[in-house]
Amino acid sequence: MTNYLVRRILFMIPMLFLMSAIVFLMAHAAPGDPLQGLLDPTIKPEFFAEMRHRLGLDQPLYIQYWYWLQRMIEGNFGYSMRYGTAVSTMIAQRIGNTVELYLVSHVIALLIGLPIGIWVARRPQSKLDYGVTGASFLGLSTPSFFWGLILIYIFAIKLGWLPAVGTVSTTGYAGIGDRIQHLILPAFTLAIIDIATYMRFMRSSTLETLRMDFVRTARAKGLKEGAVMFRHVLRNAIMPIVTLLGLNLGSVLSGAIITETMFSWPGLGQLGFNAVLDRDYPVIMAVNLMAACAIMVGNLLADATYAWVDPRIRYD
Amino acid sequence: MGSRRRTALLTGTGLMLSVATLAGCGSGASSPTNNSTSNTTSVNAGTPVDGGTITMGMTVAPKGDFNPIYYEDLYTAYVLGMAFDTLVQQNGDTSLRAGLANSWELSADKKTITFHLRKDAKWQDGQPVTADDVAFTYNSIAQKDYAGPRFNVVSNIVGSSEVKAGKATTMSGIKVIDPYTISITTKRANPAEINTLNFYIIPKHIFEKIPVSQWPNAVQSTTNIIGDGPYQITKIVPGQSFELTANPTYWGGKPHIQKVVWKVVDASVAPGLLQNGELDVLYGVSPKDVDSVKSNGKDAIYEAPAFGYSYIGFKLNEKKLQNLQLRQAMMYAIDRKGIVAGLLKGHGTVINAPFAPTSWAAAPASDLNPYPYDPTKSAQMLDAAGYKKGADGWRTQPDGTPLSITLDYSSGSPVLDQEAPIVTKQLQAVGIHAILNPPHDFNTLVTNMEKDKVDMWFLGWSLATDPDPEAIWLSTAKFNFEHYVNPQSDQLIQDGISLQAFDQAYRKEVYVKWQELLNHDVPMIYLYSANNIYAYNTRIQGIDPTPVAFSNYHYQNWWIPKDKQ
Repeated sequence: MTNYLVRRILFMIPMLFLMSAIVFLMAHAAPGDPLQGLLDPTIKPEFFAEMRHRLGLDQPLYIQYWYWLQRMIEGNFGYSMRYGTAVSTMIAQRIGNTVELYLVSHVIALLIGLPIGIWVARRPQSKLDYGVTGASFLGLSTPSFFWGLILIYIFAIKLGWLPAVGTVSTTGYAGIGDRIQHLILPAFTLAIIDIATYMRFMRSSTLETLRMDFVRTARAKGLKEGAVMFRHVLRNAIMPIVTLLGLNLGSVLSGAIITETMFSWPGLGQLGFNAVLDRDYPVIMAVNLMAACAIMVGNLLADATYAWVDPRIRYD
Repeated sequence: MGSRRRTALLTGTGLMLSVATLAGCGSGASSPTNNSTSNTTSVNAGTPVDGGTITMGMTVAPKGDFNPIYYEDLYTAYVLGMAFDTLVQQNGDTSLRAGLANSWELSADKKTITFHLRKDAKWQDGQPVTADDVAFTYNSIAQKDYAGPRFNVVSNIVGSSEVKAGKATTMSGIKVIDPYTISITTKRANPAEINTLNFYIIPKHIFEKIPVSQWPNAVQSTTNIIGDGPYQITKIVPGQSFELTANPTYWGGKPHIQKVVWKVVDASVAPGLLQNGELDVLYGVSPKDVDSVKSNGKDAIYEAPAFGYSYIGFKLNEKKLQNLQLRQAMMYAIDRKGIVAGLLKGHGTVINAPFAPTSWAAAPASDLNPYPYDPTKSAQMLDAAGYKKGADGWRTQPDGTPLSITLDYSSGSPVLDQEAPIVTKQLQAVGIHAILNPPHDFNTLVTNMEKDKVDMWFLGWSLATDPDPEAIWLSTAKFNFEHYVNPQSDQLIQDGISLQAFDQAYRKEVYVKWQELLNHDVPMIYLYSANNIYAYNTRIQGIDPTPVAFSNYHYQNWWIPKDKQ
């Protein structure tokens, strides 16, 4: 197992190089550059040439990539080409927000999705099952911005219970309670699709497992239903969820873009999206690298946990 | 290795964003003009009292670079404008009044401007604001290592090129005569010079020890910001909120409202936040929300035409678009009034020349052809000009070759998303084979424009308050994307900034002639000037907005009655 993990981790390094080269090429393949969007007639035309030179944009692509790589290996993400700010600062300011939002929304999704999934799996084809399945379709097929708007309208505007924007209050008390208040709406908005997903996966995988021979055996030998469910059924049924969790870690950025924008939640999704619009290459590269790491680590964790949960799986 | 089950999952990866980037509306000349002064007219009754906090909303996050000589975006300027002062201020009619400079005078040859600074202005750390700070600001912008976009501010000062080239460290045209007097000599007399020079002044004692190239990352620009305006930036939560606190030593008087918090809010939730009182002021209300905000029982609306306009450009180097009758006929084919009434809900003004309708130099409506919506007339003009309808129903060019014209626009603007298809349909209705390309992101659109890969495109310009159109319309201008080349226009543009143009009546006459010329030549479809719309909670007293600035640089006069604080 240890061998396997070490191999996997070492394998990530060439993957990251490859990924960075591809992202670099793709980012530069989009028309325009960081200065193109500056349509300000008060700016002297010479400024554009001067800045392109200063930023190295007048160099061939492979040289630009080489410079980026050199800095990267030294642990330097570079500076935003649009705003001159250190990319590491921009990321440091936002990564905590994104991770926090992601973790909380996932905990919510698991705490709600899994129990419901198990619950309805015990009553397949019942009215309850149909109802929950229908609701989960609604959850899956409705875009998150729509849920976000509805939640904001009800809880922030009509009822006034929760704040609609930002991560903290700027006035008055700004402790942990305040932070939690700000988290609730965006975390739920982000969680809705995951609740539906986990619910459906848990339902079908529980159903599948309930039909297995070992479950019948367990019941036949007179185990209590609770013991059958927890010791036998769930232990097996949870496995697809573990994989799903690992894979979802990779979607942390893509899923967060819309929610972060709507709730003015300054995170990496927002940062990355704006960087793409601005052609801010160093920021695009940095955010993509983080996303790639998240995906790889997520997959690795999924595989590792898989083996841990299911003793039948051996990596060697 | 163990088998792995992979399932395609539904995750929210669709990029259906409504991120209104500044770029999306076509940013433009934004010579920043800010702050506050005397001759106040308190609009509201009652005696101002101190105290209270207000929350102001903006719909796009500022980029967070609060260095006045580096910042680029309008949203940063909202915050900076409360914390930094300029030499002069602009009244609602764009005439100038005292700011950090009490008075100023021009030399006989109009090339040298001498500013007399007020002596009671202080930096927020207690140091006085002096002529050295002014000289330092301009000299910093001219440095070789300065990597910001504002060289235009100083480019006309004698010695700027030498400093830019690294041959000198200070401009010979700037003379500090005494701590409160500074004279600036320009290479060429220009009636717009004071407007150009008018810029945020930065504190020399704070920045002189840091190399100018490192300013954007210095704590002096990101966290410990020392300005000289009515409010001091006291807390920044990047991308989210910006808290400012009243500056008790402000020369215009201590501001009444103790704290101002700027908050970034998504445009879709902003009206609701006004309604429940979470926001007191919103910059950039969308036209569709005006009625609901007005009727929410809490807020009032102020609106004024923006210094700027929306247009559809023609690539005049494209042979098929060089026919004047064709372009004029297109003006008649588009229902611009209907677009303003329908899409902007009436919160805008149809324009007939590339000029801000609020400018003092705007031509009287009677001088310009209004090109009323008249598809019949449009069709007749096209017939007369030889654009005959072919077998497929589309008009051909006068020489009989097929004519098709593509239109391009950028994504992200709800108004454009409706406007572009409407315009295309209206052009098709008179038989012009107009093809609307799917929207591109702004950067792609601009790249295609610069490379002449488009025929017609939707865009807008924001303008400086000074009417000089040189940077966009001179034949050789970088931003003359239309390639409009007309010696007569170039001559008028030059006349508008000539020595004679120091006489404002003459200058206006020149610009009116220029507008008449462009009104006739139709190098672009003139659409409208959309209003800037602001909402504010009526508990705030002392607001006296103007078309130039909602605050009128009078933040210190705003106040809230005790019972509503």
